[in-house]
Amino acid sequence: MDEFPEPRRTLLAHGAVIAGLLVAISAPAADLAINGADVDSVKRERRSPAPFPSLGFSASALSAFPRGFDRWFQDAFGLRDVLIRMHNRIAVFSLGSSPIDTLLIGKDGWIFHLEQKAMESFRGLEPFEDWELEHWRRVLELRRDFVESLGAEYVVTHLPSKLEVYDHLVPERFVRVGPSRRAQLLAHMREHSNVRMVDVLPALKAEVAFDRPDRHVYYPHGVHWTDSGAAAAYRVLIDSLDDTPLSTDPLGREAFETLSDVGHRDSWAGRLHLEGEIKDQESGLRRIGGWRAEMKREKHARFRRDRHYLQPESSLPTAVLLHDSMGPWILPFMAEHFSRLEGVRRLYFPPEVLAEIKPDVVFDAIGERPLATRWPVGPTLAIQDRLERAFEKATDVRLLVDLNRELHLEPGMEQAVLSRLDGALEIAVEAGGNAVALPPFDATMPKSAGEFLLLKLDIEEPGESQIDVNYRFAVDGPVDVLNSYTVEGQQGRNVVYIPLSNPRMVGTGVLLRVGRTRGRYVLRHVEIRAVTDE
Amino acid sequence: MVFSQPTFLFLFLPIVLGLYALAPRSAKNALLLGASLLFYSWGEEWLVLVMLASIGVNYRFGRWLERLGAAEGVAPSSRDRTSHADKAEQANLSRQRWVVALAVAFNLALLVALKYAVWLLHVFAEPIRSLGFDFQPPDSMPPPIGISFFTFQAISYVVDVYRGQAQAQRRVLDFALYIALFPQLIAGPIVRYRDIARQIQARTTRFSDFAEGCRRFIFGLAKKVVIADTMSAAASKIFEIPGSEITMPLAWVGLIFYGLHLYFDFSGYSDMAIGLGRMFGFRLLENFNYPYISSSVTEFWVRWHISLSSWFRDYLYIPLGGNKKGAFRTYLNLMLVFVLCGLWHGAAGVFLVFGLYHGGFLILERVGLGRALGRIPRPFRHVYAMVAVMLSFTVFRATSLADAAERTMPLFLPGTGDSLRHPLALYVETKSLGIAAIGILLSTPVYPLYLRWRGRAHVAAGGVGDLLELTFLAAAVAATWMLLSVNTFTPFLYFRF
Repeated sequence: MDEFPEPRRTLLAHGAVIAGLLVAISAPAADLAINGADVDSVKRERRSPAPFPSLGFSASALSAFPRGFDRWFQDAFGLRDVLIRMHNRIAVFSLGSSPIDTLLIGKDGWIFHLEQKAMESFRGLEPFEDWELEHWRRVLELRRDFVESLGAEYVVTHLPSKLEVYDHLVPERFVRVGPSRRAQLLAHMREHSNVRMVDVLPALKAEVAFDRPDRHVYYPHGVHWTDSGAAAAYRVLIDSLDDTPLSTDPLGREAFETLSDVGHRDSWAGRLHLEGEIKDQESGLRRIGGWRAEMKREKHARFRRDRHYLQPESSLPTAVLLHDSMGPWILPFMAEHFSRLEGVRRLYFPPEVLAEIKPDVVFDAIGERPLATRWPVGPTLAIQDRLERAFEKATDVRLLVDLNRELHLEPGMEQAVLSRLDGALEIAVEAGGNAVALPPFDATMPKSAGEFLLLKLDIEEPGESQIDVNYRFAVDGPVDVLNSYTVEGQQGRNVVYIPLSNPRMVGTGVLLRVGRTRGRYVLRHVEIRAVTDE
Repeated sequence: MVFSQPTFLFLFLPIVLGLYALAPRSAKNALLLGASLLFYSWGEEWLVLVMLASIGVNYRFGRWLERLGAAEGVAPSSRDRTSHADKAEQANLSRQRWVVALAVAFNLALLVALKYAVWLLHVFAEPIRSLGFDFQPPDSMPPPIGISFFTFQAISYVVDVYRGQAQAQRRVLDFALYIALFPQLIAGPIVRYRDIARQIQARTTRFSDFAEGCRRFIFGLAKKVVIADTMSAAASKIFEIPGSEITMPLAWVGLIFYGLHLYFDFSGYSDMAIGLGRMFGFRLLENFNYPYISSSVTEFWVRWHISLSSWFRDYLYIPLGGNKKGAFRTYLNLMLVFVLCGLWHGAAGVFLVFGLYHGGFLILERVGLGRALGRIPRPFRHVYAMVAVMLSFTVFRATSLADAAERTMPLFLPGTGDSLRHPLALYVETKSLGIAAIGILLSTPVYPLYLRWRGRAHVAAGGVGDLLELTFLAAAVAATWMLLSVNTFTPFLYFRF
């Protein structure tokens, strides 16, 4: 048998085993009882701890209690932080492996982030098909035309991931089998379009030659570029305006002074429970004599992460930088060349914002990850007024959800509680991992050009958030939680229209992620129609 | 609830152990039953009512059989022979047969209704529709966890009472404890009532028993959390690769990882059940005997999930005539047993094929393959057995027969697949390789051999042997606790930029 023969053992040996196990199973609960839940250890993972479930006596409350309790206890049991730290220390420092699949421990202890198909893109495993490249080209040209109709220049760059810039630190087992999506699109656009596409990768790779232990182009343990990387990219972006009336010279290295050890502005150390053990020292840059442009937050900002730079006395042109999380590093450099620079943090193209600002130049500088996860739409499909008109005219209703019956939480994405109200659905969000599954609908795209499916949502939000619609590419395939359409939600009631235009999308298992902010969301209307964009 | 989740390990178990230690002897069974029902309903909610219904009905069947004169210490066959003259006795025996048949039918109906009905409706949907009916089978739903275990336990109880091999339990609470005892409720082993009837009535837990229980529980938990879960994750990554892209070496590595996952998951649960049982004073029978050292498929089934194969042997194979009715009936009986054994693992066509596959090998080995194998060196026989068993795991894991075929082809086609997209090194990391090596080592009886040597060599108690063992157990606990904690570690990384 898998049985163990039982040799003679002393009472002491028996006692030690019993005491050891009893202490080991009791210590977590004892620590919880004495010290309370270590909320900070969960917050270090940049998420909210699961709340203690409410205990009601209705059937649904009783049914939900065990799962809620398990979630709470998983976050709350004592010594959790100590155990995770011990594990991660062994994994990272002894085995050189990441404790989570979404990070990679590279050479020299560098950490690479793999989410959102970063590795697939880097290795060229999921290249664009020709028709997808053509779609991107058309969309970028439509965006360019829209920006030029405002009298502005349009410059596009897709920022390379750390994997591309520091490819020599990626373990050899990650063999590259083709170009990244970013490189593919760049080559396609250069061959087939005159949209101003800028490649900052050569400049960033050249900058790597200047690396020192406290100075790099990207944070060794984070995901973003540093001041040095941002400065190198900034010079390329400013240089790209050379053949325009806005031509100006970027500031050289000599214009900046080094600030030693500005701390770890970007590191996974905390989230791995290894702060203090993973050393983060990174110097920063500052313009000698101080920055000329001043950052201000203004009321007009539609989104709390938008940034606004001003040089009031200047006659310089104005600009918008459409950016993602890489933006904050490059904005100060860019702002030195404009009287007004709006840093607009969006993953999609916001025509209404640009029309309101009316800049002289628009830099569209988004990281390369959306190339693998977002289906781009042209500017007209992002104008809500226009979409509302199209929706009201359409008669081909593909889905009209009965909110009292048809929606349920996606299994595994249940960190919320649903309550049926009269004609509405309340979603009490406990944490970010929640998604409501829409009933199946006919997602066959209309045949005529300019026709597409449009989702109308009437939703009350507890605060500023992003509403995502995730979908799948095959009826039996998994819901791809990365591929999504996104629209912003503001606190209070929102009526938003989301174009669903990816021709590969299927209408089963589509997920609606109402927001990560904890609180009460109320869905009042969910409808999909096939519409014509006029 | 499962043994490897924090709620069980850090809350439920210490509380139940503490209360059990404090409870008076007369209240211990009631306490264990209450804990078991809470354990089950925590994950299965209202489905605990199904188990309670099964308990109530089977308890009544046992009492009914007892009233009809069963369970008097005489097997029905011998009662048959001695009571030819007594017609009343004959009628009584006939009634007993009806009652036991009714009891078996009830249990099988419960099992079929909750585990197989939807699958069967899907299988027969097309023929039904071809008859002109507008028939849409309902969506499948997972069966109540552990239903296959507690149903088989219930059947063994009523059959043993009928056969006179056990006395009917008169206290419903004690019978309920037999069915619902949480250590073996959800993953076995399948416990025969006659094996623990006395322990339910009266048992003692000696200090050394409790310590042995702790050792076994720690070992089982580490097998599950450290080895099985690591192998599961590593195997899953490989099984996600499309069949057309996977290379031959990678396909074999994936299969070996999966084989290790299956064995350590299942035997780990059995170890935990046996260990927990021992802590509460129960001696549960062993369920695995190092199946991966087998040198034939027949031997594999003697060593793998012993409580299931012996259940089928005692309650199906032998009643069907076993090997006493000629070669053809023997093969037919074997095949029937293995088809049902395959389906016991799940309601899907792949499990049917899994059973047919193993039944086929057992017949082949009886027909002559076994003799032929006996003439080759043991290492080659071992390779044969392992290849045969591992190949069946591709079917076991597959979602359909087409999926199984897609997974099996690369195992025999060198030079296919895409080694650039899926280099071996990408899937075989230091951690998974190290754990696999430990797993392969522990798949052999190296630890019992050490313990036996220690016993024979009279290594002094309290000496280096104890110290080594304590160090090993402490390391197992540390590794398990760390991995359990990491399973709750879900850092929000970068979802929305």
